[in-house]
Parts: sequence; C-alpha cells; structure tokens
Amino acid sequence: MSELRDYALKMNNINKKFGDSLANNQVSLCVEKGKIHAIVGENGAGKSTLVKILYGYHKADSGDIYINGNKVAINNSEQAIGYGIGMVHQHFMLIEAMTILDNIVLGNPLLKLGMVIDYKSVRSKINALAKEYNFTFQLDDKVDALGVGSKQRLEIFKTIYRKTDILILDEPTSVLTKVEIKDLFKIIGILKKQGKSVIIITHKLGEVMEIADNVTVMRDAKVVANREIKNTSIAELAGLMVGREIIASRKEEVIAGDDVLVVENLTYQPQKSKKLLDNINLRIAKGEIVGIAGVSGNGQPELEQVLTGMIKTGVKGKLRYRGVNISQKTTAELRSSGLAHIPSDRNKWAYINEWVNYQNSILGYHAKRKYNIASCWFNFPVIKKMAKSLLDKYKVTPPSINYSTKSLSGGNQQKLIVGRELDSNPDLIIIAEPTHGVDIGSVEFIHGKILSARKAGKAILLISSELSELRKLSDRSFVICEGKIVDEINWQKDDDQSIGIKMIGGANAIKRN
Amino acid sequence: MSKESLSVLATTLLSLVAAFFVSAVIILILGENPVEVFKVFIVASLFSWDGVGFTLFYMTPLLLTGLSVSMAFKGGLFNIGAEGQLYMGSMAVAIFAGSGINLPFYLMIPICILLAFLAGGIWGVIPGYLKVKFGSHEVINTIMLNLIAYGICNYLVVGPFKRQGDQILETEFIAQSARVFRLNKIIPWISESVPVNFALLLTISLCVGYWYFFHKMRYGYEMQVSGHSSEVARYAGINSGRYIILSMFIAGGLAGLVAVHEVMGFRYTFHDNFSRGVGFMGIAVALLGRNNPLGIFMAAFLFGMMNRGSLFIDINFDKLSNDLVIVVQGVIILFAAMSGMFQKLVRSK
Ligand SMILES: Nc1ncnc2c1ncn2[C@@H]1O[C@H](COP(=O)(O)OP(=O)(O)O)[C@@H](O)[C@H]1O
Ligand SMILES: [Mg+2]
Repeated sequence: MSELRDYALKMNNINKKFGDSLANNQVSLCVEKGKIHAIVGENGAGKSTLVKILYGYHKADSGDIYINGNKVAINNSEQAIGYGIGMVHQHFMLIEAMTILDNIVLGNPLLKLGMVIDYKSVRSKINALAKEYNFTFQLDDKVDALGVGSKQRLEIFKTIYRKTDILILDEPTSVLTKVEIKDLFKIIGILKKQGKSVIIITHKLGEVMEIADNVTVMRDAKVVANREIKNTSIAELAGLMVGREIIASRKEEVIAGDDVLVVENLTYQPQKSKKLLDNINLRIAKGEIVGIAGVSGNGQPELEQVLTGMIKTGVKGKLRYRGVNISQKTTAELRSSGLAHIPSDRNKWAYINEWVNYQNSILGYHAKRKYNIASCWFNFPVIKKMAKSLLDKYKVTPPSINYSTKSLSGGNQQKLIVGRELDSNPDLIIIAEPTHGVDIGSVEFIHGKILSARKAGKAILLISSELSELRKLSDRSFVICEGKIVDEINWQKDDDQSIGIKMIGGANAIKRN
Repeated sequence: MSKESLSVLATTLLSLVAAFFVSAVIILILGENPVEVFKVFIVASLFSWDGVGFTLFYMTPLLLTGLSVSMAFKGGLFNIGAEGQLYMGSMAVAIFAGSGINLPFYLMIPICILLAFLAGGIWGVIPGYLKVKFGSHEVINTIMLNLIAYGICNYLVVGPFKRQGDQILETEFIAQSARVFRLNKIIPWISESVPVNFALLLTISLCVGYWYFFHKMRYGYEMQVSGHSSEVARYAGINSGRYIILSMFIAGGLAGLVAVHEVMGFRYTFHDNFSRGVGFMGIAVALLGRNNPLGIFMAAFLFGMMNRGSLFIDINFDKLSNDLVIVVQGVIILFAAMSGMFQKLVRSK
C-alpha cells in the first residue's frame, strides 16, 4: 500500500468492453504527483476510453482506481470532480452567449441548486486564482468572441477553479495553431509547478517529447510500454505505437504525362466579400502530385470547393479538365467523369453520421451504373461486396459493412473515405488535409496509397497545412497566401522556416506586424 | 433485426408503457378503474369485426398524414402543413367530382386520386420552394398555408360550392363513378355500416412503397443524404434543393390523398371542417413511429384504436368523457418526444 502513496493516481487492471470489442484490456496507469503524463497510441487504441472511465463517463467492467493511495469508486463526473479530477473535452462545454465570468461560475457542478452566487467575492477569488496561474481574462467578455485557444484556456481555468489536482487533456492540441500550442504548454508548465498532475493524450510525438515527464503507450486496448521521456525517443515511441518500425516510404520516380487539369486566372469572389481566390494558375499532369502549402484560412477550402464544382457562383477564370472546359459542370458530372475528392473536413462533408459503412462507401458514387439496376434501383449484392472489399483493402477496423461510420476512429473513417475516392478509378484527385486528426499508422498507410495512385498515373492536387506531408509526397508545391499563389517551393533549398515566412506573406508581412 | 432497430423498438415500447402508466394514474385520480377503461378500449376496437373495421377506418387518414410528415422529415423538413394539404386535396376532388362531370369509374377514380395528390402536393411544394429559393423556414410557411387553406375551403364550402337546399355545410355529392368501394365488399364479416374503404388498401400499399423508396432506390438514398445534411449532399454532387422540393411535394400529396378516404370513400362530399386535426396528429404518429413505415403503421393503428374506443368511454363511465383519449394521446406524444431519454436507458443496458 505504501508505494501507492507516491502516485496521485493509479488505475489498476482496467477492463472495458463495448459490445464485443475490447476497448481497455488490463490497462494500468500510474501518474506521479506534479508530473506530466502523456498517453499515446493510434486512433482506437483505447486512450479516450481509459480517461473517460477515470472521469466517470464510462463504468469499467473491472479494475480499481486509487487516488493518492486510497481506493475510490467513480460512478459519475460529479464524483470524479469531487476527487479532484478535471477534464477538458475536445468539444468545449461553454455557453457562447454568456460572459467568461458566468461560464466559470455556472459551469460548476458543485454549485447546488438554489444557491445564490456572491459575484463580488467570486470575482476576487477568480482574479486571485488567475494571477496565481498566469491567466489573463476579461471576465465580462462574451465567450463567443474568443478564439479556440482562449476557449481551451478558459476550460482549463474552469477545472482549476473547481480545485482540480489531476487534469485530463484529451487531444488538446489537435484544434490549436502552433502559437496556441506554445501557450497551452506554458500553462501546463505552470500547473506542474503548482504540484498538479496532468494527463495529456496526443497523436503528436514531438509534443510528447517536449512536454511530458512520463509516457504510456497503448496499442489494441492494451498498455504496451511505459517510459520516462528522458530514456526514450520519437522513433522508439512511434515503433511501439504501431507495433513495427515505421519505414519512411521513398517516392519512386514517375515521369509526368499530359496535363489533366489546367487552371487559368481563377478568381473567386462571393457577394459582398473580398476575393478569396485571386488569379490562380496551376497545371497538374498525369502521374504527379502538385502540393498547395499555406496557413489555414488562406483560400484552401475555397480552392478545394471550386475545383470540385461545389462552389459555382462568384467564380471567374478557366478550368480545363482533359482539355474540356468544366466551369459549368456540376459536382455530379465531374465525379462521373473521373474526379475524386478527399475533403478537408470529413465530418462535415464526407459521410452521413447516421449511416453504416456500406451506405457511406458509395456516397458520391451511388449513381454509378454498376451499383444500380436500370439506373434507379440499388444492386445491394454488388454494393455490399464492393464495400466489404474496400474495408479489407484499406484496413478499416472493424471491417464490418454494418458498423456505424460515426463510431469508427478518425483514422479508420479517413481510410474508408480515402479508399472510396481512390478506388473509384479517377483521373484527377483533389485531396485536402488527408491526415488531419489521423493516427501515425494510418498516416503512413494513407500516404502509401496516395503515392501508389500517383504511380498509377493519376493527377493529384494535394492541399495540406503539414509541410512534412508535402515534402514527402509532392512533386511540385506552391504557397498560397490570402488566396494568391505567392511562390513555388524549392524543397532542396528552402527550409521550413523560409517556407513559413512565405506562407505568412513574406518578410515584409512580419515587419508590418 | 439489427441492433439499431431493436433499440428503437424497445424505446418506443418503453415510452408507450410509460404513457399508459401516467394515463392510468390520471384515470385513478378521476375516480375510475384504469384496467376497466383500457379493457373497454381494447374490446371496442379489437374484439369484433366492426370494431376492427372502425379502428382501421380511423387509422387510414392518420397513416396518410403520418407518412406525409415522415416523408418531409426524411427530406430534412418539418411539415406542419398536412392539415392544409389534406383540405386542399379533398376540396379539389369534391369540386371536380361533384361538378356533374361523368366519366367511367376506371377513368374517374385514377383522375380523382391524381388530383388529390396534386392539389395536396402543390400546397406542400410552396413552402419547399420558398425554403430553397429564399431560405424561409418551412414551419412558419406550412402553418401559414394551413390558415390559408382553411380560409379557402371554408369560403368555398359556405359560398360558391355549397350544396343547395340543405342546412349542412357540404359540397355537392360526387359522381357515383368517383366513389371507391367499402371493404365489406371484399371482407363480408365487416358490416355495411362500417365506412372503412379502398383508401386503406391504397394507404397500406403506400407504406410499402415508402419503405421501398428509401431502402431500395437511388432517389431515396439521395433524398436521405440531402435531408441529413445539405453539406454532405453538396460534396456528393446531390442537388439538395431539388430533393427538398420533391419531398415536400410527395409529403403534400400523401396528405392530399386523405381525400380518397374522406371524400371518395366515406362522405362523398367535402364536409366543412371535417378533419379536426388529423394533419397535426400525423406529426405525433410520425414521431411515435420513428419515421419507419412499420412504426408509423403501428402508431396509426394505436391512435385508431383510441379514437374508436373513445365513443364507448362516455357510455360506460360516469366520471370520464371521450376527451380522455385526447389526454392519453397527449401523454403518449409527450413521452415519444422525450424518447431520447429512454434511448439512453436502453443503450446503457
Ligand atoms: N461509446 C462507445 N461505444 C462503442 N464503442 C466505443 C465507444 N467508445 C469507444 N469505442 C470503441 O472503443 C475503441 C477505443 O476507442 P477510444 O478509447 O476512443 O480510442 P482512442 O481514444 O485511443 O482513439 C474503439 O474501437 C472505439 O470504436
Ligand atoms: Mg480518442
């Protein structure tokens, strides 16, 4: 028992099943007081499930939880909060229309119904606490005016206000920009200094190495390793996560063929708005990947939508696909003439929440002749057989055609979508952020599939905010900034920093700010 | 049956049980024995051929409006306008078939059915079009169109098309050739006085068609995509505006087909204010039936049973009136609307 006391938290042999699938299998986790403990693992490894059990969202089938050496039973979030556990969700639990002050106070479940809030003393208490933890808030500002990073800080502060000793952050950085991530890490550092323990779940191993003291690696619902950060490396962690050494795939030389897509003087200006795309010129040939780099919000989603026919009004310029003018063609027409589209926002665009895998696996291709009898009745045997082979070929787990797509992990959803689009036998593929929110194993897999599409002679446009992705995959890349193509990247000469400067509008832009 | 539909079924049953429990408490408070009351409902509606016949009779329009609401829902819209749509369909048929026109029945009946569907469909398509064109909300527009339909039909039945020489506010009787047969023609156990008619068979085949459309046909798939999310539709190259309009047209048409039941099969005339909220009960039926044709059928049947039973409540119980049925239906709707709560309960098991 005495050794238990060194740990702020110990979870022992936790088991949790969802239906038939084991999400946590004899998982144990020890978190030291005042330390930052990272949990890493591929999507679907069971990380979120573990912390949700800790926070009282799920009930473990078996296993014990000790807080400061004392065995506790946590049946709901209120109890978890009572034990000093706090959690910040990926989707913020804030009331947008209310002020920061109200959100801090009202979000507090320890507040009993009917209690009168003494705002004056609360205000001074919050201010003191904010000072201690180095937060700056305008307490009377509305929440909806805050950026994502500030909202997250507010969420963290809410947990501090509720006297949290163990703070859980489930993939906190996936929604943040680089600068915001720096700020977050500063806050985590302060929490650590104050003696709190922080559990952070992330995909990004660089972040783990930067901030954590200890790390637990999960794979297939089990813990496969515990390491101290000072005794490990990104390569080792990546290997542990996916169960094999990641082999950086080398691109084969492919000789580019004829131009498939030619874009000339493309401009997009919606009504009463500035130009979101400004005089874009591009050519993509058979067998090449043309990359578009840029800070998000510089016209990338608009470019993606204009090229796929999703946006029509306000578009000027020439679009030629295999020599044919396509500016008047609808998305359906483009798709049936060999356009595929892996969209930047898969939750918004790429599948129907309420549907299962086989239904989503024909989305956008449902009108194809082979899926229909007399062009209006579905041919289910053909569709289901295709869906099954798609799930197998693209290693979607679980590979069940009747499994709800929404319940798949992000990586598996993306593999399904990548598979659907690449297997439609396209000539031109518009790909945007193909590995956003996707685990390392799936990233490798998806990159491999994109490269084999290139090898098969497809013309590919790759819009990405990950420079490493473009560096690895693209043949030529351009920088987009404020809707303009401002420069071509020379991968031999340019380093990340100089590309970064181009992405934010050149050295002049930096001086101006 | 899939896990999903099992949980839906369990949820619906749970909300029904809860509703009957609450209703039982209300009956107890009013001073009657709930078991006796429910027994009367069941005996009256199920234990005789006529009882079943009447239950089916009351069920028919509810099934049509339930399908109507559900159809719009699949297209992503909330159709509160079934009431107006069914009035327009019925008025169109009553005027056409009551105009003294004489065609053989094999022309007359299909024409009238088509007319009912079209008139209701046009009334449904207006809010659909306004939504696509101007983004105005269909709930407000369908409610408004209900009021306009009341006004129009009321005017027509009081004024230009009122049957002369009669106190009752009704239109001229429709031609013999426009009347559809009563079911006692094919099911002799049902007596002639029970007005359940051909419309029931038509409606049941529409239920099957509805299922078929959404489960087997590409257009049903596309409509559901556009109903779930216009953004996904845009991505997948599906014209969601077209499906909004189509789903509202079919929804309106289905409600308009109440004309077959009411005008062509039952009263043979447009009786002023005949519906008394069948269009609105359709919302409850669709809700309880979870937009699934079998579920809608069962919900409509249950409501039909209650409508039938209500006649006997007055007769058998001193302390109750047939308004009790409205209370029970209200409680059911309440619980069906809350069924998200039950769903959680079922899932966590
Ligand atoms: N509420 C749930 N119902 C059913 N299955 C779930 C649920 N939550 C998670 N799972 C499944 O459990 C597994 C682990 O998921 P999760 O803990 O979210 O993984 P991670 O956070 O590591 O990506 C996955 O296969 C996932 O599909
Ligand atoms: Mg997770």
